[in-house]
Amino acid sequence: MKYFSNNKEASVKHNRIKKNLNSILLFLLFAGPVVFIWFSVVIIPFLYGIGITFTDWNGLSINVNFIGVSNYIEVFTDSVFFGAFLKTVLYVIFSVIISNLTGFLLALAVTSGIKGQGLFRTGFFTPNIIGGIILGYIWNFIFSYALTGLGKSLGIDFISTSWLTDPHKALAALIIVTAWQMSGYLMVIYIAGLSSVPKELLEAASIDGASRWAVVKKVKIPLIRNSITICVFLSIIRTFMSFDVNLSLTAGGPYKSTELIAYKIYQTAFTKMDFGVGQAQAIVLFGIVTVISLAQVYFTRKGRE
Amino acid sequence: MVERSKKKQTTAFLLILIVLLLFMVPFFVLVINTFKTTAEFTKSPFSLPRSFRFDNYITAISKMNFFVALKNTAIITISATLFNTVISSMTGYFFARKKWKINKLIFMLLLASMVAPFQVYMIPLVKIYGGMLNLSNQLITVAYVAVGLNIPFSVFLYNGFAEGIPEELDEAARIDGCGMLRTFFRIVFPLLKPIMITVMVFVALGVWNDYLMTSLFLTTTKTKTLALAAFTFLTNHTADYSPMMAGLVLGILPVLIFYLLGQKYIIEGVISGSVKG
Repeated sequence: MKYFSNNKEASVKHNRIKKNLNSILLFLLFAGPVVFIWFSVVIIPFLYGIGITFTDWNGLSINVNFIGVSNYIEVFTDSVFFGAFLKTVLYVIFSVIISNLTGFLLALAVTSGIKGQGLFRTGFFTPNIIGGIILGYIWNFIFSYALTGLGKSLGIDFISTSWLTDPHKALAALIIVTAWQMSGYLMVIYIAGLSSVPKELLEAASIDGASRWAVVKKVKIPLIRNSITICVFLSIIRTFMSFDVNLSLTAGGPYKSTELIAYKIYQTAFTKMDFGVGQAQAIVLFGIVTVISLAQVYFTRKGRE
Repeated sequence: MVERSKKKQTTAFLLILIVLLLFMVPFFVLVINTFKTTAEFTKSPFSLPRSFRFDNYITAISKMNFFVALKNTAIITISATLFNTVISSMTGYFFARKKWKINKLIFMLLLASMVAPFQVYMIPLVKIYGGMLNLSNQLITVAYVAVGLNIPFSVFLYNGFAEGIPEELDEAARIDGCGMLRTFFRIVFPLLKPIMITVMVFVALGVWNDYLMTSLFLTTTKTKTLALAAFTFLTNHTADYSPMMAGLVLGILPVLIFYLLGQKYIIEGVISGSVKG
């Protein structure tokens, strides 16, 4: 009897082991490759990167010393990095406002019942399928040669010298290109929002004699609040990390007047070869983006209540 | 009344059309000047070309190593996209069906890792893959890193979609004697098609257009992608602008053809890829 029950216990145990083994195999089969690659490309580099910020590594010397938080101190006391941060903030604010307004107005126009909605969607979205490096160069030609040529032949002083050689106008040029690219992108999200506004509501409002502007203000905007939250945060995050257009349009110039954070990090790391400080700057950018993302989660939740 | 609103709509249509045409001016200026000489371009950048001369394109094709770059870009994009599709969809489905603690934990970490900007990984990736493992100037390195960077949001999207596929379908297959792997590839995989297109478009466009990450690993002429080739061509080739502009058009052309063929999917892919919940 005893022998029998032992045997049964053993068999239960055996089954459990077999089941566990089966689960492990299943996990390895379905999630193994993803976990492996994600660890090797995302998690390990992330942790390793945090480690780098506490060293004086310059990419060349074999001697790497632990130097505590002095890289972070350098980042926070570096007036050039702080300048890049302020420029980025300025760039973000203007780009976000202009591109959201343009995107929203375009979406309003396109959904107003006109023909060819698809054509306009496709057209305005086009800059977003092309890489930022190429877009930046196209606009580089426009600002440096096409507009200056036009300015000279028409006698418009404002554009007869290249905007890209003037420290103030260069940042404006960067904002224009960003807004040009992003407004088509945001337009598509706003179109999706506006298309979900019930038709009966709009009809009722216009029967009640509401003006077009009143319909937009009192009916459409409140009903697409969710799209607005998405668009605003999406554009803030994207512009905070802006790099490609910065590189090919202005390359941070003239006189470093358009060095945005992401570009600055690249410079610190690969031109100055100051990997520790560059990585610390990257962690600061990570902190900023995380705070913005958390704010988005907060505002989205609040919007749903 | 009806007539009047029709007229109004036509006016609105024309207005937006004009806005669109203005919006497209940079592209027009770019294209018309690729058929001129540099002297003609600097003299009158807005005039139409007198004839279609392709000299600038021929120069750009040879200086950029266009066909090599095109081939490299295609190899990286296709391999990264296909590999990502298979492994991320499997994991997304697996996490939707097996709510084990470990799966939930990994999924949470995956979501959290979507926030970090690429700059955070940039230096460590160069150190690990370029330095320690000595894998620079290999297309496969870029494809591998691209897969890794795209995993979090891909798994997230596949998981959300797989949650919506009724589990009865899996069970029916299991009764017929299918294991989980066969159930996935025979039953679930085909059902994932809509989300698959979205994810593939997003990943493919991102990899195709990527400059920063690719530039960290590929430095030889033989391995350059289109974005890198265009960049080097434009930074090294000074004062002769018309061939440079032809180079930019060549850089845009492949992706533009792709866009015109499937704009609906592409717009949806790009948007839902970034809006992610």
